[in-house]
Amino acid sequence: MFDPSSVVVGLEIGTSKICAVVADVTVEGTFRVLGLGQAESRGVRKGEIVNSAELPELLRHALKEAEEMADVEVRSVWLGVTGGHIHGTYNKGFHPIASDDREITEDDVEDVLRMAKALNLPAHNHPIHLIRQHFGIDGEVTENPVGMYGNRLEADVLVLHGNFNRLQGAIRAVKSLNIEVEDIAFNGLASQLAVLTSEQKELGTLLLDLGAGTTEYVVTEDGIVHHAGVLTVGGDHVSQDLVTGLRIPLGLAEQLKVEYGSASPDDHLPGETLELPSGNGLAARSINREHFHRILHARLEETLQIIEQKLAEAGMLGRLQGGVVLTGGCSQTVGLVQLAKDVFQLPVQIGEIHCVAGMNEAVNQPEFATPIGLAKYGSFRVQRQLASGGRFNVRRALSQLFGR
Amino acid sequence: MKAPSMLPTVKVIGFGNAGCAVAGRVYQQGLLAGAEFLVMNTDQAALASCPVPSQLCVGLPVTRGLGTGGDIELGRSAAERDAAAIRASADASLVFVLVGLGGGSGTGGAPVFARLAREVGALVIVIATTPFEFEGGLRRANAEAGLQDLRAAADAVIVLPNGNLARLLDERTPVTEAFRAVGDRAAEAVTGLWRLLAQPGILPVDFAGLERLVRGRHAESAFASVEASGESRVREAVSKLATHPCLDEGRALAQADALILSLAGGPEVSLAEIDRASREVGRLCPDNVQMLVGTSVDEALVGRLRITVFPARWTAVNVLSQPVPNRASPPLRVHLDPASVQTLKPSDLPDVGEMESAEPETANSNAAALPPQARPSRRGRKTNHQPELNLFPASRGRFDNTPATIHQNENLDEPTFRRRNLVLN
Repeated sequence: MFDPSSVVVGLEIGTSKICAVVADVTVEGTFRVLGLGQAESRGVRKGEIVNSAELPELLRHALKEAEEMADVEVRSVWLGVTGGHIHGTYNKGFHPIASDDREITEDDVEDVLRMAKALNLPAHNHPIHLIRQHFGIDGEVTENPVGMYGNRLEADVLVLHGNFNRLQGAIRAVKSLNIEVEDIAFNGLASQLAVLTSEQKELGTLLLDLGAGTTEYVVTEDGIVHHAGVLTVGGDHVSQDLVTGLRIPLGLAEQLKVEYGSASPDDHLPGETLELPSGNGLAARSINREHFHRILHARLEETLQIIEQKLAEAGMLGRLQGGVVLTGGCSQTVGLVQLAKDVFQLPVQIGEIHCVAGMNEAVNQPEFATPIGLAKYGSFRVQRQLASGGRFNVRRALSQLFGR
Repeated sequence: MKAPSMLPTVKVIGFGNAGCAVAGRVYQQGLLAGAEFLVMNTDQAALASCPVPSQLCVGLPVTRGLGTGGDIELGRSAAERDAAAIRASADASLVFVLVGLGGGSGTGGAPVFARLAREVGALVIVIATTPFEFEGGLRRANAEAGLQDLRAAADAVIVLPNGNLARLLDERTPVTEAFRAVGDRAAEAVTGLWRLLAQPGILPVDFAGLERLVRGRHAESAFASVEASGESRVREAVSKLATHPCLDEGRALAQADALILSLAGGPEVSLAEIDRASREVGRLCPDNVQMLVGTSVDEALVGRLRITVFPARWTAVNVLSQPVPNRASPPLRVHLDPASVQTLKPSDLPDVGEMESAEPETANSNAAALPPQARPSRRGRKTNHQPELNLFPASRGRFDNTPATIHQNENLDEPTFRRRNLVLN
């Protein structure tokens, strides 16, 4: 029924849920989601696996659900990674042009990128993405150097890199199910692929993926990712703040957050209370809504402010003509768009998942942006590989990471 | 302690059953050299079992020496009747009044005493406990009424809500043990303040300073004392304070208008340490807080650092902090047969009041008369309390086993509202 090589599977092991998306690319080139499987996540904190005991079972469950819906067998996945250990570094690579006529070839470009990738990374870090910003030939900036002439080729790149061992932890968990990992991708980058329109990518847009354990931020301009990072603060922090502030159990805090949560500090009547019924060994109580909202507002505002500050330090704020796009489970919080507008002083919207044929309604939820983006990332990579001829095999390139 | 002669005359007055018990405890510890002790009660039997020699049974004609049975009005009129004797007894520059709110004698009588003592020129600091949750609505209503009177009458009220203390105790703590801990804490507050005034320090606090801070302010204060040892003892002690249940997890500090801060350490304590501790504690408070800092060196504290704080607010607030709906029922009058009151009287229990009939279990448990605790064992038990305190900041809930999220020296795992000192009450 399907050409098996065109089926791609994106897998996110998130802090609150594990989600697998099976997708393919039709003959007309449309990206199409075929199946989606979910499982509640356990043992993952701040986007990283801290206890892998229950993980295989949960992964199997999510993958099985996706398999059944799509009616395909999952053999390999594109795995999303995140966590506080992932950083973006700007690197510069140099390469002297050795050929007699000083013409720059594809090989030269590959060499200069390889140079840029290896430079300046901490010893235990492994590059996840290498994103070329622009090239320079003898100091002149250029977009595509192939076919031009010069003595020295330079490349400015953004390297996203993470701790080798922690990246391996996620990969091992998947491989223990006898499922191959085609490649890993940074969750923020994947979300950006799923959510941003091509116009937004050109304009200069900040994507904020507000997850349960982490918040990823990615700045795209001229179709290129210029800045990316992770802040290990997410929905869990909001819940934990409520636990401490209101002295309620975590489960209840999460329930209240979803039912009544809002990012505005004034979303309540004066003196209004939330009545908690007795049960589960807890006495009936009433909670002051003002406290509830103040706690939520303080955390959400602070999180956005920290990201704003980080972007300002990186000189990115002035480039965001496309505004801010929110995605991830937390982006559904009532009033968050307004809060983000106030903090960033930019237009803000909630991202819609684009270019997904079939199942449109069911999967157009902010919390699926990352797994869908992962599948999309996979399909781009497959297409690129097929276009450049030859059989698709990126795994070889990753042998360094998987071999051990 | 040394050099009590430096001190102005100080009196420690225990009022009501609980007050007498605490005063008795402090008296027997013998740490307050130079202070005069006096206990007052409406119940002669309870007075008789108190170790403090100078005693005054107030309101004999009203109560016949049988206590008030939880009637505040009766307690008040008993004290008013002996106004002259009270005035005479309050002849000192500083008076500590110890009282357990919730019953009749203390709740009704202590405000009268405080007012009379202020009239004769004493600086009156009341150390009051408020009832446990389980003691019932009547006692809570009583306590609140009494507290309002006390706030109006005294220069400063240090409130020790027993409910907060309950959070420090093990769940299985017997009731007698819990009441004893309440008494211990009240005693600790008195000795803490005394230490601050009496001990010669690197940076002593004098009576005049204290008076300037509290005189006429009707301040309401909390109290907490923490100890820490080892390398990072300053940080440890401050973080204990910031999460101390008796300070509402540091909120009492965040809202303080004035702060009395006592830092005591062994002979090895460095000035830099003292300086850091005082600045760190100051950071927990609002910017415009009036701080009174005393530091002293105590031979007994080798290797340890003790921080005692009394954060005070000028404005009156509701101290029975837990939200309790429909609490404002008027105090009920309970008339008991005097004979039955007599038999049920827990004479030497450090109870917080006199409403015995409402809680037969405490009345029964008073058979184990509590010997006053000697200082070493008190300290021993204190170290038993501390590990529970340690658990508080150590448990990071959902973020156990994860590296802390640090951004510009701030731990983002700590709730934002707490780091921003947002007021929740």
